Amino acid sequence: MKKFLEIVFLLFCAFPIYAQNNSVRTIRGTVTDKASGEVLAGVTVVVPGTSIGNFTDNKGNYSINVPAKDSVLQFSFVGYTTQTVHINNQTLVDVALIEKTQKLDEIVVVGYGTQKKSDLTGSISTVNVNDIQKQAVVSPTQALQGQVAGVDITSSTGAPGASPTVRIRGVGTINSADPLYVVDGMMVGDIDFVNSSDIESIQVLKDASASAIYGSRGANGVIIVTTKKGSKGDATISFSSYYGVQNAWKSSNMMDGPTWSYLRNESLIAAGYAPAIDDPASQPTTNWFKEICRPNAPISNVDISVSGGNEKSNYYMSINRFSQAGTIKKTDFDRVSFRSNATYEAKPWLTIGENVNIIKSNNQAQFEGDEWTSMMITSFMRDPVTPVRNADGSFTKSKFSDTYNPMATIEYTNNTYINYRTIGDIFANVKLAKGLAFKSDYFFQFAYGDGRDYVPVYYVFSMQSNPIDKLYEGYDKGYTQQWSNTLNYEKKFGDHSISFLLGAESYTELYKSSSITATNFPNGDPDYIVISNSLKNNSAFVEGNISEGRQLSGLARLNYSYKDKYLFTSNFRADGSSKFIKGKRWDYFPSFSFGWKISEEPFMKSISSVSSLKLRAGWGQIGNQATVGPYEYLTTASPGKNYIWGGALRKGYSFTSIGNPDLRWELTTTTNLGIDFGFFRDKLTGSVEGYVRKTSGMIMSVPLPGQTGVENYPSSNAGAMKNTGLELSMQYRNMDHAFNYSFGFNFSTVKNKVVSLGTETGEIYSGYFMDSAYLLKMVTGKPVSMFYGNKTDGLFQNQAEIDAQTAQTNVVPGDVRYVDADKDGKLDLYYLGSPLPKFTYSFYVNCAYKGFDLSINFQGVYGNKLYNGPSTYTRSSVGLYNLSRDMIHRWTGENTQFSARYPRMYAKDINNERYDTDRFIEDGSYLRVKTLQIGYSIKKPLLEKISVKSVRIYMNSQNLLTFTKYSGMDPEIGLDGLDRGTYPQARTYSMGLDVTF
Amino acid sequence: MSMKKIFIYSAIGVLAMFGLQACNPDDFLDTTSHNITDASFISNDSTAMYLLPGVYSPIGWMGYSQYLEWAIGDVVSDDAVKGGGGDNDQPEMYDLEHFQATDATTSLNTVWDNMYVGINRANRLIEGVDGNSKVSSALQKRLIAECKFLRAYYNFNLVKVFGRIPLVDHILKPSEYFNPRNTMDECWAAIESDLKAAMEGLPLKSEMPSSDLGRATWGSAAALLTKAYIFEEKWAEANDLATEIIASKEYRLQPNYGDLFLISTDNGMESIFDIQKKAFVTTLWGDDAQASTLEVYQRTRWDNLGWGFDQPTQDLYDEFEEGDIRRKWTIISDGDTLWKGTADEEIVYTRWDAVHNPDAVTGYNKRKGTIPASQRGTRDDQSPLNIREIRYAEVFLWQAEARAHTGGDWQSPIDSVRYRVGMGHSPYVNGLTAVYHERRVELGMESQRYWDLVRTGRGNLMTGYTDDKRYLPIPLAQIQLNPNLEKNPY
Repeated sequence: MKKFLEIVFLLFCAFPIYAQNNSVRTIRGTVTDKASGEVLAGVTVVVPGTSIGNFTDNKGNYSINVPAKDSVLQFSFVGYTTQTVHINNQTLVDVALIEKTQKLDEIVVVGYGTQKKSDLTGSISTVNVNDIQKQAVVSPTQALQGQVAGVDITSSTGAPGASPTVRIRGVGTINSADPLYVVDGMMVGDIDFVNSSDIESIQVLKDASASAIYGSRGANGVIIVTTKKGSKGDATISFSSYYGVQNAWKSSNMMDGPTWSYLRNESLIAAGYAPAIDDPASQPTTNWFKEICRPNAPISNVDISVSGGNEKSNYYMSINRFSQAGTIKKTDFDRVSFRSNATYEAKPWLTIGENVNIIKSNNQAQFEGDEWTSMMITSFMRDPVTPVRNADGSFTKSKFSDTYNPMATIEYTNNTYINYRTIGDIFANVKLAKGLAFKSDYFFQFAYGDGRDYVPVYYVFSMQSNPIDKLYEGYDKGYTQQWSNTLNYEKKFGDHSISFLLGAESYTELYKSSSITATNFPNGDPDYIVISNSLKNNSAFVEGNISEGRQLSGLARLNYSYKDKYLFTSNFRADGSSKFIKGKRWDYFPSFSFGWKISEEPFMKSISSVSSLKLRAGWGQIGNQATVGPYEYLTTASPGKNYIWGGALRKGYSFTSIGNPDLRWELTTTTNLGIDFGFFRDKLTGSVEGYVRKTSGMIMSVPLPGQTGVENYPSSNAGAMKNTGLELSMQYRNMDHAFNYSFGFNFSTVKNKVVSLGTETGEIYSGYFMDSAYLLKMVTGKPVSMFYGNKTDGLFQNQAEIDAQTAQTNVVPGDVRYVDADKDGKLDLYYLGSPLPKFTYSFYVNCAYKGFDLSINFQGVYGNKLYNGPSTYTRSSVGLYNLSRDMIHRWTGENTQFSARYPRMYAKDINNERYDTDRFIEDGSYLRVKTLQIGYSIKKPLLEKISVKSVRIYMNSQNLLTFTKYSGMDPEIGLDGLDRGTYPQARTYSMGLDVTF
Repeated sequence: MSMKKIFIYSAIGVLAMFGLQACNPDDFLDTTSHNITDASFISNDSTAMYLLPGVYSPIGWMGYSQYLEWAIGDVVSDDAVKGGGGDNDQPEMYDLEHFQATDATTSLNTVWDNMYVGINRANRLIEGVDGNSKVSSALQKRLIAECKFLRAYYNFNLVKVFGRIPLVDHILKPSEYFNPRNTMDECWAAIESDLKAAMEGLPLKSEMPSSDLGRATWGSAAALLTKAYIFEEKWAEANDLATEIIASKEYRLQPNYGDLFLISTDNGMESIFDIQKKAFVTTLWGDDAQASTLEVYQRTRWDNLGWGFDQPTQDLYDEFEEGDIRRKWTIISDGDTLWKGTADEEIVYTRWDAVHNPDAVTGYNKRKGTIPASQRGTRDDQSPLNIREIRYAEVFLWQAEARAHTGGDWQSPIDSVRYRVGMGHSPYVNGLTAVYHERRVELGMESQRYWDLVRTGRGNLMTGYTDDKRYLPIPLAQIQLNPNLEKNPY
């Protein structure tokens, strides 16, 4: 390996530099729009590969001094296709630019460089940034939902500021399957810090032949974000702002006081007890869900940016404030960020630049994870008869159950997290010779988190109480630096064109955290609640953590094309990681891909309707190192193995696991086949892709027999998984008329299969809800997780039906019947479906007419199953907790058989409440109107007088409509498919204003 | 070469070198682990001691001593019923109680895992100090003895619940991960040999500084070995060892039976081996949580303060002779007043309201282990009361049982136990009948009854019991991980 690095180093130094010729000539001309013939002002005219350039004036005229050796001019203008003209011996060159309708000519960021979209051979999708920026959501990740075929975004909570889960081309591993994000060249773990309106472009590298340049970090795909830069010309000042209100899109479907009281009594009477509620009809109703909700929670956003530049430099600066109140009380998110970047052409051969991003976010949250006590689940469970507060103002205890009072939970939760983050880089670009450039880019990121949680003394009832107040203050610090050095060489000779990239990169990350929990504060005055005021500050509870990781890499890419028809790309990366034992640190990741522009072939020229057609095929191998923890090759001591003697706590350690020196990173091998096409002058474009993605050496904790006494199973490269998928996307654009429109769709389907789980019996159980057994099972040959349990077969209607089976004892008519198909007297176990969707899809329509514009985006998921956790309580036969209104359709006698969908009420029930059955598994398919926006742009003549470039006002709605059969609060609950009482997504209505000066 | 070229060359050279961290790439990738490895952990006596608490800690975990031991010992037996909030409150315990546990019963798997965690930690410490020149020989001897006691204790629990088990007496190599179950004889031999070795190396309780109180002693090992002999029906050995323990004068009976289960008698004169409990923190979870849930489990459900499990049966109530004060210290009846004359005085209702408490099945609650409200931890589900695993009175009863089999004087040891509570000679003339009665009332609700019944062939006193039910199912999860494990016939 050392050899390889030495060669890289030598190459960096070895390229010669050509001297420049000083003789020049002046070229003049006019630039027009090809369609209308109107002159174009502000068109950039440059001599490619040099710093020589100029703009057209108001009459579309330009003049430029061109060195004798150069013979090419490049004309570029926003919204138009860049044109390159060979000037030969001319001095007058008029050019007619073509408005950009041909999407395939975009420049695409491919990782350590750019490429023309039409030259791509790997699977790279470009996101329509305009659609991202339209949405009233906190992060670009959320806005990505439904934008790209094969990129599935799932929110596991509707809490403000929360970031969703991103999966590119299915679930590739049972471990971390999060993609890598690259923002302006820096590898980061998320893009939540990026303000949507600062984004210039987003590319998604989906297959290994595209992402192999990121080696051991690219296995789950790469999302490359490039932020806006200033452009030459007058400064542009943009102001945009929106304000909206949000509400839970659905209200809960729980019973009122009288109805629940009747059913509670019914259940007790059925079990032979006296009724608990004397006068059901006069019982009051508390709608707990309504109580915890904050109606019309505001969301707002303000962006201001200034950008501009001249021949030698450009700049972009922006400031943003986003703030979102949650639809549930005491959940809030607020973010202020600014971004500044600039590039300077310091010398004709040297360009330098910088990029700085500073962000502060502030988050107040409720604890959602606990399915026993979270404010969501208790708002369903708590009986409706009990009011929120007693007459004396204290919070109520329920007479009927131990359910927490959700309003008290919210009242006593004071949990905030403030995050400060600085991300930036400084770079130098050196032109060494014609076609040869060197770039050195140094990145850093400093993140500092400050968490605080104060729990006061309170007593609602014995279980919901806190006898000693306590304050948690936790800090975490992350420091990342990355230094990338790359050398780029481009050369065209005859029909051959070649480009070559060679690079070296070092990467360091350091993470530290510590926290203090102190108790007993002298009084409840918030100003006094700081650690130093704790009466027991000498016995505070402290925790801390530190981890460090380093990576060293060499990378290379070769692009070759012949006659601009046959394309070839190969990526290679060598990665060394500090996570592994010496001698096993390095690994190598290659990829190859081919493209054939069929439409450039002579035989295709006669088919005029086909404007572009390209066939792509690729193969590559990449690693997934996120799944390996550092030092897993060592057997290490874990603290906290404590016991008492002599009346005192004795703190101890034990070796809970066994180190595995053979551990490697997971390897993903992808084969990809795709067709890109364009018809009718590329009005209709699209692509179809199929792929096979195999993960081998999947890191698993292979369970060991209990008799080994190993507490944490060691990781080993034991598993394998396979994803086979198909993606389809198409769009049609017609901009030829005053009424212009576009529409399109994305579709993707992935078939996931576990190939190996390391052991022969290979079964992994996971996911439970409250007291249930595990609900999900993973076995070889099936998708990564499957619901597993008993099947129901309606209700027993009469004694004869009960006598006809032997598997269930102690049942009476009205109880749930489970399937015992083989009649062996034991209930059969079945696979009850997968939480992974069969396919995901989205479609959109955009249109505009005389200043008005309308866009609508739909996003949907089909064929996944969800476990409706709360319904195990709200459709319970016992009726101890509040019930769903659905329970009106319970069984009350044999004659109710045609309407009864739910079992009888019965206080001593143990049959109907079985958790691991399909009774609680529901279809999770949904279709959402993700965004609907109507806007109006004020006409230019009106604006010019007040020197405003553009003004647009709009109304927007997020999650306007949701179509689903799922009966829980929200079908979008995260990838494990277990609904634990999920914070529902908000429906947002907002109004916005965009102005540019 | 022009100056400019040279400048550029050198600039790039320097940059590239930095980029590659021009020193040895492997040095760049060397980062420090912040965890101590097994190879370097034990560097002297005090670091060796840091591995000891972990060997003990599984004895106090929720799986066995706070749950399965009484669920089987009391609830499955004829001494108690499950209770709690109806049949579906703790459905696994309901299954155990009705002899319908399965190999999927998770609490069995938990106990299997927990006990072997303890065994593995013991093996790690034994192998870490044995012959390790960094550790003084005195400490080596003591730690090895202590670990062997604990290993025997874990094995004993496993044998009680599952019968034959795979024995693990060293850190396993991967080739040994799938060893089958040993024979019953091998299991008992392993337990005996560990306990004999432990007796050699452990101090007497009287030699122990109070700062060590709670760690295993010679007496703990000797008593557990006596118990093993009783299970093995090695009556002569049991009698000899019980006699030796009594002769050591290390222990005395607590003068007042009623004081036995108070915090003030933790590690007291009668205590041979207590599982240590304290409410250090305000939660039941986490490394520092060392409190016991036993009390909240058994406490009456009145006002929702307790969970109402482990309710004594009428049959147990009737076993006590009239006038035997042990009944009221074992069973709470409806309307009993506890802690009379103290600030904690309370009247306990065990059958207060059939509607809101339809689950007061027997109308009794368990008394032993009930502590005054003011002594509970800061949360009322945390009891700081030690769990009495072995107490001195049982040594007399072992002695009596051994002698009833071998034809010795069984009356005197039984009298020793009875005199303390003001009772005269046993009313039973048959030695075994007298011992069995005395065990039931002296050790009532102390998680003993089930094993007393099955080891003496009286399992049929439990409705639904057959001989196949003596040992619980080997967890399916374990059989799947190690197909060499033979099933139990349960």
